Amino acid sequence: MISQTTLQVGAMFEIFTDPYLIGITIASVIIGVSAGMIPGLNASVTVAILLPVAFGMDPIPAMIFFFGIYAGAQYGGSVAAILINTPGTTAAAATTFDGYPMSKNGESGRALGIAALASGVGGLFSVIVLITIGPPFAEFALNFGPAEIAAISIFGLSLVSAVSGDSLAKGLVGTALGIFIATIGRDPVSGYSRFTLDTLLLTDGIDFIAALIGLFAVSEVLLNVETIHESVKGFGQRVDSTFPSLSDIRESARVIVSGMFVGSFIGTLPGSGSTLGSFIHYGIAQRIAHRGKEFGSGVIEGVAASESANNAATGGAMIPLLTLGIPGSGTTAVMLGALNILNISPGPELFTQQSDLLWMWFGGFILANIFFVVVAFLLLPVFVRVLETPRAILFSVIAVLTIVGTFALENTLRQAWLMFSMGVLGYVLKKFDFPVGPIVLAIVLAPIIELGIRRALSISGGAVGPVVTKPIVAILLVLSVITFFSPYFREIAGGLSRIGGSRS
Amino acid sequence: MTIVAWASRGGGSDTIVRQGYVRSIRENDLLPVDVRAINQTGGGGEAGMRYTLDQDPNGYTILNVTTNLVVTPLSRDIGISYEDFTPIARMGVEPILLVTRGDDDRFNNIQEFRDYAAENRVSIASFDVGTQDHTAAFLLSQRTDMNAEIVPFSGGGEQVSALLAGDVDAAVTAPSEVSDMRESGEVQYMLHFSGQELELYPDVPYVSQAFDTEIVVEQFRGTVVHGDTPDEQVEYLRDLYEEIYNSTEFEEYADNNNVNPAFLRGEEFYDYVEGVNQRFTEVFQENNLGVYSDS
Amino acid sequence: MELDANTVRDRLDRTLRLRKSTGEIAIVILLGVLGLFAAIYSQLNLPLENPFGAGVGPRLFPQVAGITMVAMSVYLLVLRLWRRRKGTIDDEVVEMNVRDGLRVFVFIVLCAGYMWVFEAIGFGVSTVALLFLLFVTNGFRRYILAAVLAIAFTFGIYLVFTTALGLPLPSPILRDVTTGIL
Repeated sequence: MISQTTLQVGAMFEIFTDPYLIGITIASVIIGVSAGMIPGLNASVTVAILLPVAFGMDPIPAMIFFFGIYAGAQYGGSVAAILINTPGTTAAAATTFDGYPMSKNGESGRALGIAALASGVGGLFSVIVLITIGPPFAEFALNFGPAEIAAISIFGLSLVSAVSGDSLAKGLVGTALGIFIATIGRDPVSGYSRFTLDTLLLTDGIDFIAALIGLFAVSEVLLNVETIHESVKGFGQRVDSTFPSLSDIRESARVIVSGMFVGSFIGTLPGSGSTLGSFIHYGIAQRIAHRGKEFGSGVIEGVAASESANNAATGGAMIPLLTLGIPGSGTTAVMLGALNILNISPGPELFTQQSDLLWMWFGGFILANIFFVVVAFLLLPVFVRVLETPRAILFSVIAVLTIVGTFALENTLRQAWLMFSMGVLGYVLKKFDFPVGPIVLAIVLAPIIELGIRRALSISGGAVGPVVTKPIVAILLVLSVITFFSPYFREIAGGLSRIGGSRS
Repeated sequence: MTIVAWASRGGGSDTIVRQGYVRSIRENDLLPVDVRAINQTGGGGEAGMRYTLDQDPNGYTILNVTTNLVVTPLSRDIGISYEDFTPIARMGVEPILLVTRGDDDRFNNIQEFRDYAAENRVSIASFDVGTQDHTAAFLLSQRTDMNAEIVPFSGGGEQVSALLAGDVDAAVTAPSEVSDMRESGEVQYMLHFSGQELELYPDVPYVSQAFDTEIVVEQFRGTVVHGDTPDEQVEYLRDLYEEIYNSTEFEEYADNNNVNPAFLRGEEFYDYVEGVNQRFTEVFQENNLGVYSDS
Repeated sequence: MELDANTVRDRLDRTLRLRKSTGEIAIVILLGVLGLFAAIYSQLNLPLENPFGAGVGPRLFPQVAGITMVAMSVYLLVLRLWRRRKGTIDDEVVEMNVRDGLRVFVFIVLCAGYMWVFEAIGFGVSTVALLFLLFVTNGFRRYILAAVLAIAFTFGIYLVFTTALGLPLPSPILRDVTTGIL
């Protein structure tokens, strides 16, 4: 038994000789790429729909499956961005700027090819970051008690202001709603039932996995049902060879490399994730690229800049989740759901006691990043056909999968009803621009924060002082305050200038 | 035939059903019909109990139970008690342990721990309020005049992290959570709550050996059926579970999961359950818990 | 009331228009009431102090959440009403075709009905029926193909869940046959 974190990189490569795991990786990448192409199905929605699959699988293939979907969907998002100017996932939004103009110029193959290459390289680099930073960070986190865990979750939650979109007040009301939803059920510390109204339906509260599936997947299905008659146009087009030419690679190399670093760094910060990463890097690339001034008119470097950065964020985003058990984004929250189903609690112990699992997952993650590039180079012209599936069929089947899947969680329909209700709620909220992200983040983080604070206070005998003056706790709390108010300052400043000047 | 587990996949009650029972029945052809395991999760076993009572009492649906068979009806008024079921057998028990850090110099045995706790404030990590771990810790600190704060954690892993990180001084938990760390010397076993010497840990004292009081709390694992099941079927199932108990598959399961095999057939199982019920009722009454709370 | 086909079509083609702020106000009022419930329920039923030791009890968190919901709802409500009166709001109109709204409503009702009968009549029959109805109500008009696809997907999902993943789905007919009761 290995008692301290050791690099078992060797174990990682076992996967390359295991046909079953290779098969799982290929399947997951194919599912991920095809789902990612479809506007409305991003990585979190796809993983959420398929969460129940984890039930029937062992931890190693199950998580490799989800990592593969994650990586594949992240790339798949660029396909729709390039072909129809609608990003399949928000992370690919910056890809439309140059990708769609290229496609209009009849260069869709070139754009898709370089997007695949940049995504793959960015993704691979992010796994390397995860492998290098994860273990030492986990070792450091071994000293985290309830107070530190609560503090870092508060830091995660303070990012609601960043994911709230344009209205912080809407984000806050959503956060409070999420905290309220999370407190429904039996309180483990006191044994009191909260808001259960004496019904078995609510005795165990709303399972956060059910809430995730509802808020992410069902709400998206309903939005799509509303617009189902609007056929997605443009997919009929032919895509020629997606194999990138040497000169294209040479031209894009610089922005791909800078995207790796920028994307990984931003991805590691909880809550920001790949959308922010690709936008920020697109801005940086405008300055450093050979043809930066022409960005927006169909420059191949623009596509590479966005795609390299958004996939480079995938591995980094896993660091706070795997080392601390704290998800900083929608996708990592869904990944936490998968770990929950598998009965694996992420945290430093994962690195010290179950590192064999971990290295296999990382191996799978690497493999997935290689496979989706291969899939893109060889099969993309065929794959684009997937998108001609009538949406009536696609979204009806997804609806059935969410219900049957949630039923399978506990073999009862209780959570399915709750899941579907959350979906309808999410649909209504989205219609009126209430962000759903803060609700999800609060549902996942609130119990960690509440129980952590209560345990810490119980240990300290009720005294607040010794808890908040622990060095790590104090630093994290200060950071949380700064993070929370930083966009708020901007909003105030923006509001002032708006009052001063005229509005467009 | 259907065996109901009231934990979700991978939980303790699910593991014994799938690895201990279903595997043993299938490998040894113990039944003329096929057997399947289903999960009915929710409400601390309430969903499983309710499901079983909703089926025909023909012996084709059997329920795997734990100490929650007693604790859940005491925690909330669910209109079901253990007396609504007929006992088949108790298959095993999991002891509960009090552990401390291996390198903690303040105490090397349970007496030193108690003397230290009488003078100083200590904190003990345990499981959620109302569970057997919490009850054991609670009773111990009360009866031996410890100045202890019992801190409930929601999982064994969290308890152990808090202990190793130095946030709490001790933990009351199941052996499966700490057996690896005992081997590496990170934790030491101080006391167990099974009320008699345990084969696995002969050098670890139980409560009445160390103190002038008796506290017996442990997690039991057993099987019951609907209370209206005809005697003929009940006897058939009791024989079946005796065969399962003696199978190598069950032995393997017990070894892998830190469960002490401890067979009690039929009525003997319920005599034992009555004792457990009595002890928990006392605790709940004394502390205004669950159905005895004022509100 | 007499409706010929043309008036029905007319009504379906009509577009519902709702000022965005009206919808927001409705949601905000709903969330405010929910928050008020949370705050009051916590006050009445939950202790502020930990009943089994030091620290805080089960009331603090839900009550703070409830109060925040009330406060933010009131703030948003006042802001919306004030901006509406001043006319400074950028009040887009949320449009929804009656036909589209009806489709979403039918979708929700069909799914709810499915969950209602799922356990009683079993996975197979209910899923085929639901998929077929969802296909055709969402504009897939090739009825025979829809039926074939509904059966194929149901069978596929059943195989994946029960065989590949080992998760049982309710199939009372099949069970009654196999246990010899039927």
